[in-house]
Amino acid sequence: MEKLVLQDVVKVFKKNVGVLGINLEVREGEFFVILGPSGCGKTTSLRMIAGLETVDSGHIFLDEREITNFPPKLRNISMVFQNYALYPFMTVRENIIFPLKILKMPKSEMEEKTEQIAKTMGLSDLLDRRPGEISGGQKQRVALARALVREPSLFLMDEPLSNLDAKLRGHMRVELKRLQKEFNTTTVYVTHDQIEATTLADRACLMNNGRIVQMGNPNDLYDLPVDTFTATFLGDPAMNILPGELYVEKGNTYLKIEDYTIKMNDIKTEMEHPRDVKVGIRPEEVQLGDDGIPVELNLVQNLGKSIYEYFKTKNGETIIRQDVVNSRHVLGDRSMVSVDEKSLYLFETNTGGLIYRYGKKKYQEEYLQNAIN
Amino acid sequence: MVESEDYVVKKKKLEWKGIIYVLPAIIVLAFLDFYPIFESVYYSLTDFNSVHFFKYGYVGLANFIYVFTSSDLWTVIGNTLVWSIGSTVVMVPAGFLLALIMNQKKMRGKTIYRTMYLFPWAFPAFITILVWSNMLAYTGGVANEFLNVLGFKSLDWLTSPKYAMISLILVNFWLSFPYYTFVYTSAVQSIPQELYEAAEINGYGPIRTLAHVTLPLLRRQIAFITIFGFIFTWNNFYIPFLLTGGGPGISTEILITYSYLQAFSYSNYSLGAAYAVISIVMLFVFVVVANHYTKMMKILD
Repeated sequence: MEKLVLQDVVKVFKKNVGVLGINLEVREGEFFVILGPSGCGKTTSLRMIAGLETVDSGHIFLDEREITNFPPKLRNISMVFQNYALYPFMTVRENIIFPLKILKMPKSEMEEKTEQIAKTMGLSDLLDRRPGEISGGQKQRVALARALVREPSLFLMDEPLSNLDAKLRGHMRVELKRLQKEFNTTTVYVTHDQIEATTLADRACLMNNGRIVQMGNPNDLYDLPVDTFTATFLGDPAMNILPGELYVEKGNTYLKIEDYTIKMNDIKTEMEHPRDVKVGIRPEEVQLGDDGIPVELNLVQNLGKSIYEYFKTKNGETIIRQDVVNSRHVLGDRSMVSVDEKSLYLFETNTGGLIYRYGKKKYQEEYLQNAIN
Repeated sequence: MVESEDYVVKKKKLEWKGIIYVLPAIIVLAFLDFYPIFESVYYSLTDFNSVHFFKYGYVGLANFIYVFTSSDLWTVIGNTLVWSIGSTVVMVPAGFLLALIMNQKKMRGKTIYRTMYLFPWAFPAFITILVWSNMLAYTGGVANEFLNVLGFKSLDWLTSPKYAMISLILVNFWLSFPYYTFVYTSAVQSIPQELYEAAEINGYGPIRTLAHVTLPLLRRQIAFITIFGFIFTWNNFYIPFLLTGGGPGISTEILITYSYLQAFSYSNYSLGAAYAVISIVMLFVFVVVANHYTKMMKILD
């Protein structure tokens, strides 16, 4: 069942891009992540769902009820803010009880709920402290407790982990996922961090310049990006993109990257003129071999568990390769990057749209039609 | 945790070199603050006046005994309290209220309003006071003309003991609240927007947000601004001096104007100094007590 539906939602700003008509459906109990670079409109979308921002046009439905113009308090939504938004003059207990105080609820019930949620969140010992006296991770827990105590219909999170250090962030990711499954509250989560998106999301959408570029489960976004934006946004280090040329000779299709040519057995086309394409290769798929694109090792980045090798081609393009730590390559080493048709992505040069992925016929059909025109 | 003698904090020796660096500040403070205070305390213990102008001497507490036995003191202190409290309770909350209104997210034309309410404050005060003096004049003043149009009798705004103090407070209110609006604007703006939004999402309306979020957050600032507003008004000389000159009789004399009256109109310098000392001591006691209860000085940390 659809819990939350956004229909052609638009928000226009004078200075920024805003949100240029987004459509999405979030299912009951789902952990939905809106991912995108800063300024893409993801936070604005979330704030419109919360009612903190007015909607210029379009509709928002929650539980099959239109809430587009409802004030926040009629929406039964909880939100966790990036900077926690805890009240410094209240104790942890008072902060958690804050959303309940306004409901007509007996005092004993309020206190019982507070104790209970504090226990779940591991905050029982901190109830009488003030936010200034606890750590960042604990503040985050208090913010989550305050949002959960009201048992909202929808749970919104605006980059809740971005103020934590790397280790704590990893820990809180696991915690968040566990909590969300435990409470089974439908959650919309905004982040610019692709790791948070892939680890937390049941489904995710990627936004850019006020529009949704792609929606699906995180693996689909990674495996089958619709264009170069998605392809380079997901994955760290980002996918290598190189210019290439596709041509047909004697009924066979060939891909030429710089001086190197490979036969593309999977592509059957009749096009007459060669076509410029963008070739995408993931750093973890880059292989070195006896035959391939000649490159020179330019820079090595050591990450502890693996290394990134930055190769430079003859034309000055950079190819990043992920390798094991004890690889014996030295700066200045010359080698060949061999390209396997099965690990390749081909993109349209102008639009950046995906035109080829091994075994995905749909994209090839579209491409062939473009080629005939 | 390992405890060892290395961690014992040793008493710091006074760094004589450091004194040199703070010496200019100490000198400035000594000449501008301490010297005048000690001088006026000293004068209050002498018979310095127009008769003993060149040859004055120590008379002990004679001036204070005279002041405390005169009936004027209690009238003047009463006037000072009415003036200071009366002004503070209207201008400080009005400034706060206006700051809240001016900081509404959806408010349009903020810049225009800010410029407009800056005017009363930025305009030379003695000119606006003269304008007010004309407006409150018994015959031909705008205030009375207005009352007459509405069918009321003219009021002795500045010339009756009944209304003179109220008129002063009214003018002071008009002159001062833009300043308090400005001061509160920066306090209100220091509150992160998220704290309001968290309240809004949890169903708190404007009144409840004010009571549960804004006021508790600004508790210290409000105390600080109110108390300093009070002190400033207590020593605010020019409105009573220019508008009523303390009159009629001494019905609008406050400690600061009365001290001036004694010292410069009657050339009774030592008596003027005695009134000034009484004023300073009262304020000092007030600040210490007020700080004890509000901890307002913490905002300066």
